[in-house]
Amino acid sequence: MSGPNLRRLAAGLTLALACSGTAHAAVATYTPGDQNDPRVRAARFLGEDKRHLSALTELLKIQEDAPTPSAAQYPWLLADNYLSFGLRERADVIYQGMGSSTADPLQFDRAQLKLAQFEYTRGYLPEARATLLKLRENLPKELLVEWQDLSARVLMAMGKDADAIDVLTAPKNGSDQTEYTRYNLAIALLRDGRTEQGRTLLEKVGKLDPTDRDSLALMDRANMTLGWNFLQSQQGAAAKPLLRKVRVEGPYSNRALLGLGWAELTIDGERARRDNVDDGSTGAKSPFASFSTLGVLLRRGLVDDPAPLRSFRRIAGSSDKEEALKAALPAWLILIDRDPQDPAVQEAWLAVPYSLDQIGAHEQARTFYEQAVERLEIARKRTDLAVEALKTNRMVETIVKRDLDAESGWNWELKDLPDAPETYYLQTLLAEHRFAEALKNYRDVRLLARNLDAWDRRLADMEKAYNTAERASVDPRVLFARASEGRELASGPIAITLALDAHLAEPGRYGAPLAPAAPVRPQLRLAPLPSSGDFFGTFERIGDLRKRLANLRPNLAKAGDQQGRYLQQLGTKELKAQKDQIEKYLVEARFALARLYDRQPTANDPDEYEIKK
Amino acid sequence: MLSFRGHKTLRLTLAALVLGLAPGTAAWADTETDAALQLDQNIQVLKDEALQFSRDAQLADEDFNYPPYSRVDVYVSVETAALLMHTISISIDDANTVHYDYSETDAKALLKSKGLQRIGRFNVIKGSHKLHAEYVGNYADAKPGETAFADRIDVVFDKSQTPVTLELIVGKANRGGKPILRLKEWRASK
Repeated sequence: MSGPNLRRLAAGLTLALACSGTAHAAVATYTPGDQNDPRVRAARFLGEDKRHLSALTELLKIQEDAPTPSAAQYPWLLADNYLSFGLRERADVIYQGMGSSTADPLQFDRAQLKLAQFEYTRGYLPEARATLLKLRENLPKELLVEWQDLSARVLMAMGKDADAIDVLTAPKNGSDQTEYTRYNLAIALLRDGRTEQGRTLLEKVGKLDPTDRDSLALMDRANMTLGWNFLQSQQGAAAKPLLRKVRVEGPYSNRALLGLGWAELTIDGERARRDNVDDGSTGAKSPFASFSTLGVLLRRGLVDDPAPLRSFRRIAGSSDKEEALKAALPAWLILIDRDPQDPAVQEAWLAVPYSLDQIGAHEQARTFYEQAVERLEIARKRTDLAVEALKTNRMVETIVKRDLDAESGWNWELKDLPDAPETYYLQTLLAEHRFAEALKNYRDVRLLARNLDAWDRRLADMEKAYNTAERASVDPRVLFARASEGRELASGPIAITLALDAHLAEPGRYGAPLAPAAPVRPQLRLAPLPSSGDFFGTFERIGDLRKRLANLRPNLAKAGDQQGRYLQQLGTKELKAQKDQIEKYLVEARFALARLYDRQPTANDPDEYEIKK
Repeated sequence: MLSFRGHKTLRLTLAALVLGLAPGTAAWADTETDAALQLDQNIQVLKDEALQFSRDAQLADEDFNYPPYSRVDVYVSVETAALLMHTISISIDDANTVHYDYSETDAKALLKSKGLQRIGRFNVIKGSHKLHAEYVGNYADAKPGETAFADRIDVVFDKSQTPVTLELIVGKANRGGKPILRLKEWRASK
């Protein structure tokens, strides 16, 4: 507030107070850094409000007048906010310091779980595993399920599927685990070669009672994964009912529809076998009732990629080929007009003419192949454009601009997608930890850079105000009053003693002239000028801060550029993989077209296939 | 533009699930990951440096713009369970009014943290001053259209040469009563 305002306030104050009849505030005291310190309590609010940068700044400021704050919450608040703002190393040091001394071991264990979760999502897998192993030693019962879930995910990310299975099954508490954990266990079992156990578990997850959108999606994913697993083992009959259970509209519907078509063309395969995993879960004896068990191995097939969710290629299939082809077509015909960038849809563009060709509807097959080529060319061009757009960093910038001032750091979440075309092709990548975490770091760096830009302007103004005397100087009496307020006198009461002096004249009787005294000349000597390092006031601090800022800003800008480039690399790699797949399909479509063009029509060609959509 | 329906579900599901990657293809186990982690560590160092700077800059800013002999900090806290703040306004000596509109997130954070939110920072001269404050809020389970709570107070505080810290508390004066405002002054012990 400016000087004139202050004076105006003072002038009006007497009148205002006389008229108000207002009460006085109650007074309480705190010790700087204790639990009542308003700054500690403010940091609590800021942390809860996910304003971690502000919370940390507030907490660090407290150390200025309370180097070791006494509030029991203080180190927790500091470490939690450090971790939430992505400063893992700082948080870890504080947590370790509290490990042996904390009065609340459960709070410490929860913090360790959060630390491990951070390490896992950021990609510090060995560190996450070490944190979890240390935590295991005295793990409280209430955290076991959470610990198991996270440990299994870390181990699976490290490719240690057998260890993940042990972690999830050894305590025999399968009934306590979430359906997400059960799904992960199923995947670990499949990857570890314990196929029957993995399939049995996936089947159970696929039959869960959905309560919300997330559990519906999980159910779909389990059925889709299991269906494709059967498909890849050439067990088409077992795959079909599972793929049919996946919702027609949903995140996994396209893969399911594609698989459903292939399942019609695939041999029924051997009977599905069940094998429960011994993990203490209830209902382990339920039969494998929903699987088709026709179990007749008719012809051998080939899977060109062992991983789930990848392309499937049938080279041999059902005994009644024409019927099977006709049965496969409806699912694929639904699929071909869906998302043109989805590999499942692109595969259906080829699968439809392939089937038509096989059942003899060659003209229709040619038309669909031509359509496929046209669509694939467009998809390839779109992908090229997306790669170019990615280089401008528009997508990342659009995402960042949405929550420009959010200080949520590691807790930040992408709530919706920006309206940039390239975003559309990168949906899956955006959902992955490696991209999401890199994006969070990019956001944080941008936030700090803007923060420093603001400080640069503010400090320049403050310095200018000092140099140009824009700022009114403080009345020295105010400074003296502030310095002496509340100061107690150092000395005690003055002791006065009286002594008799016979040589003194009575007051007024002494008339002799005074002997001239030597003039008193105080010995003055100029003190040496204080060196500039001796005084470090606000002005000097501002100068120092500006120097620090000059070093920090370019480094931060460089880190932001590097992080931005890393995000671009991730996106470009993903788009390149999509383009490679499109080109592969294009080659196949053109080859099939050439074959159809070369083919001479025969009298035996059947009527056209009636396409119903 | 094609629809993004279902994306959120996909995102949530992916976050909790391990993708069905084949053994040996763990997404992070490559040089790209090493570079990403190196970058993350560099950024941690820079963040730490920026934080220390921010702290020091704020302290200098406080000394310059809000020197202790004139500084008054006003905070707000909520004592009443489930009360979500909508707005709060404060002024000192009927000047420099500060108004704050709460988002749901802010209001919930204030309630859950049992913490303090700094609403304003002022410069005043030594002597007695009048703080005026008023709030509007409602219970979390209030039905749409239900009348909100509101209260206002005028309280006098004394400004000495040291900084003044005031806490406006929204809480009940008695059982069954509506949440009202009261003021507490905090003084740092020597």
